[in-house]
Amino acid sequence: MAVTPSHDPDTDLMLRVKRGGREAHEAFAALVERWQQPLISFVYRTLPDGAEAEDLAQAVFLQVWKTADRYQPSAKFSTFLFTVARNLCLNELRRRSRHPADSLDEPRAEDDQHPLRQIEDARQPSAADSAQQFEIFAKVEAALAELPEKQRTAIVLCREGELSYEEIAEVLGTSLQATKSIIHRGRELLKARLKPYLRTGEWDGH
Amino acid sequence: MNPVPDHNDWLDEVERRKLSAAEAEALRRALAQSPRERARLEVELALNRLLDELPKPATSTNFARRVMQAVEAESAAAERARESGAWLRWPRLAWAGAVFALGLGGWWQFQGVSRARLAVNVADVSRAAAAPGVEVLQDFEAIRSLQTSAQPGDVALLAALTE
Repeated sequence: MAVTPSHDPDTDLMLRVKRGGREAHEAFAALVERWQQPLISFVYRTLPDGAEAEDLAQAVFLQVWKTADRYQPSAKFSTFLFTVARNLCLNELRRRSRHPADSLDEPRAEDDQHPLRQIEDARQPSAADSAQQFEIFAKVEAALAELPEKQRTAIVLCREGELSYEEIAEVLGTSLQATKSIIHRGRELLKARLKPYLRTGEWDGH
Repeated sequence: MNPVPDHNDWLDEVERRKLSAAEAEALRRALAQSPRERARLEVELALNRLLDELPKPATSTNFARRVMQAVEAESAAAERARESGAWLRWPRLAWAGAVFALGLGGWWQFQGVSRARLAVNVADVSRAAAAPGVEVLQDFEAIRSLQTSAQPGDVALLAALTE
């Protein structure tokens, strides 16, 4: 298989994954390390459930591994990753709407020696955190969750994934102009819902 | 005095990417002449701040390890499937060979039967070709009636004439 090196280090890693062999595992581990947080954040904003967000993020990485032979270096790895993630999230949302009581995974036994998850709670408030700040974050998360799926996805990819408009357009399967419009409309809705916190200056970001 | 930047231009920049503190300050200065635009800018920057500083969800410290374990398991399963596929290939080939042999045998048998039928037909045709023509039979009825009406006296007369 003929592959050419690229300027994007993630693309180079993905090409190594595509080539297979022992090197593929090392390259993939580096990609997982690099992208786990943006991916889990993205999935969490789409399916607001911490535990299931991790399960789905794991499924996304596994899907990327299985379909690595189809990866084209013309696409950035982040675009490939978030396209797979969005598709799996949409499938999960559809599945939940059909079977609202089901969880993504069956409950699995955990033992003390090998716990299934070792959670480092990044959301624990530090001494400086205020109750007001947490209230505002909860309002922002709620406002994001209420956005239409495309607007939420576009805004999360733009702010948290730091994808360009071109990459977001590719993930959403829309034109560049349509993507700009989707983001603008989403931000207008957010501004309307968060108006009190944006106008009064109650929140200073610290 | 520098002109006030176009609303759509600065809005596009603010929506599109994270501005550095210096860039935001420069934009504030540029919009100082237009309080309305400046107020809009502050709202956009405040929204960006809210979105950018939204706490990240909690992530297991062993998440990457679990992903790699799942990947190893997937690779092992794929390898096993490839190996068992190689063993399964022989019986499949044997079946395919048997079906082919049966088909070939049936075809040969059909060919043999067809040839035998053809030979019989050719023999019939050649026998028919060797038979006398129909013109030989044109006086058949007259000759047959002569034979049936022939008397013993006629036979004796004929014998005498031939001597």
